[in-house]
Amino acid sequence: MRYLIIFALICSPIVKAQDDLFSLLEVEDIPQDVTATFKGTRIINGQSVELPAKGNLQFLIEHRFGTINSGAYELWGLDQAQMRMSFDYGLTNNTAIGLARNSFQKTFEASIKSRLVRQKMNGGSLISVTSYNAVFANSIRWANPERANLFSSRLSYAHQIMIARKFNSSLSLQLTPSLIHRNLVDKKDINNDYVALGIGGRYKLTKRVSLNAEYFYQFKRLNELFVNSLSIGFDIETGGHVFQLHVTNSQGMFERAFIGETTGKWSAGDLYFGFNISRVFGLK
Amino acid sequence: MLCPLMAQKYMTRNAEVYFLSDKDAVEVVEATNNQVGAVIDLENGEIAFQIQMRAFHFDIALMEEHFNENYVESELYPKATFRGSFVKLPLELAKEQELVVKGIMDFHGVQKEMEFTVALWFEEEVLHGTSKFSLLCSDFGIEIPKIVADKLANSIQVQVNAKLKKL
Repeated sequence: MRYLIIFALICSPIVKAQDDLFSLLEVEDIPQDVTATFKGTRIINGQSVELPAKGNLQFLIEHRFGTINSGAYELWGLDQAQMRMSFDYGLTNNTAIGLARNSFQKTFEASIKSRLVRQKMNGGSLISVTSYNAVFANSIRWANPERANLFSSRLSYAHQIMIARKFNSSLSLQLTPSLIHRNLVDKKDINNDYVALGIGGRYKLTKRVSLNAEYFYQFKRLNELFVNSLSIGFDIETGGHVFQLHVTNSQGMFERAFIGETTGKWSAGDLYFGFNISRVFGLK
Repeated sequence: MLCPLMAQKYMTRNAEVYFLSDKDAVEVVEATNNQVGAVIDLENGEIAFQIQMRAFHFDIALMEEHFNENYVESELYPKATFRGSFVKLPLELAKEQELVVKGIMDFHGVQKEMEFTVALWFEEEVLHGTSKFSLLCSDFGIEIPKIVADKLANSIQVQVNAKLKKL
């Protein structure tokens, strides 16, 4: 008798069959990778935690025009521009290598970017961590060609760790501890290394447009002329392209230049309008 | 048979859903998800599907990111479901049968009544089901922005393949 009642309960038509079917399909939420913390591999000037996917080649063109306060004769800076071109290739889903050329000091650049930790949803890491290491070689003619000049004097390096969290689908924030090393400095008492902390983020205004901002604080400035880099801009995404339009007080587009050698003052209107355009090609 | 209801349920967690946008479009979008859950109850003709949107995989990583971020918004709507029933219960499934299924598709936060044909048959104790139908992105509130409207198709062809085992 007791068993009959149990069977009657199990097979009872009171249990809604539809819900019953769905309950059979329920699975535990497994941790999943958080993607698209930022739209681009750069927040503005500085690197973001993102990197090109495996087998993808990203071509990035960046321009920074002259200062906006240079007046109508220079068309508010549009007559002059510094530019940077780079190719970044995803060797694996967590490692990318890059080559670039900057018109600022005719600088060549080689880099490696690696994802160390990926933020997960439904458990797992709360942050994403990516490392970035780059070597820069300027190729301008020696100031004193008659002197014994070494190639190593042309080199400088950047080492960065990007730590980011996507708080929700709109807001992502990143901290970027950075170490810059220059092989050659002007004076003996200037340190070859300097340390800075970058703070950056994005807030999505619509599905395809975000507001970005970025600031690099230098713990010890090289000299009085150099200020901290502050940039504000928009990301606009259209399919395979990301357009980034911004205003910044840095004209250089590689780490040594914009972190440690920024000269524009926001208060004086020494600002540069600029853009980054990226295109991704699948090469698999 | 004390409990015929239980005895007639067939299930899988590895059904495959494949979709392909209109081939005439500039940017052909296609993806496969083979972690789809499906249950068919042959006793009362009920059918249920559950699809994790994140499990759709694309050949182009950027397309997968845009699919999740900008189109299906999988953070907001992580699952799509279909619940419905066969209009006429199949009597015999040793040979392939074309059956009509009616039910509610819940996708991207929009519930819509749908009807499509399903081929169903038994092969070595395993219940096989396949179906082909099309969806309109606009029916499910998936916006295609003007700037890419001439590149992406509104109509999506969906193909479902499932092999369900008796519970």
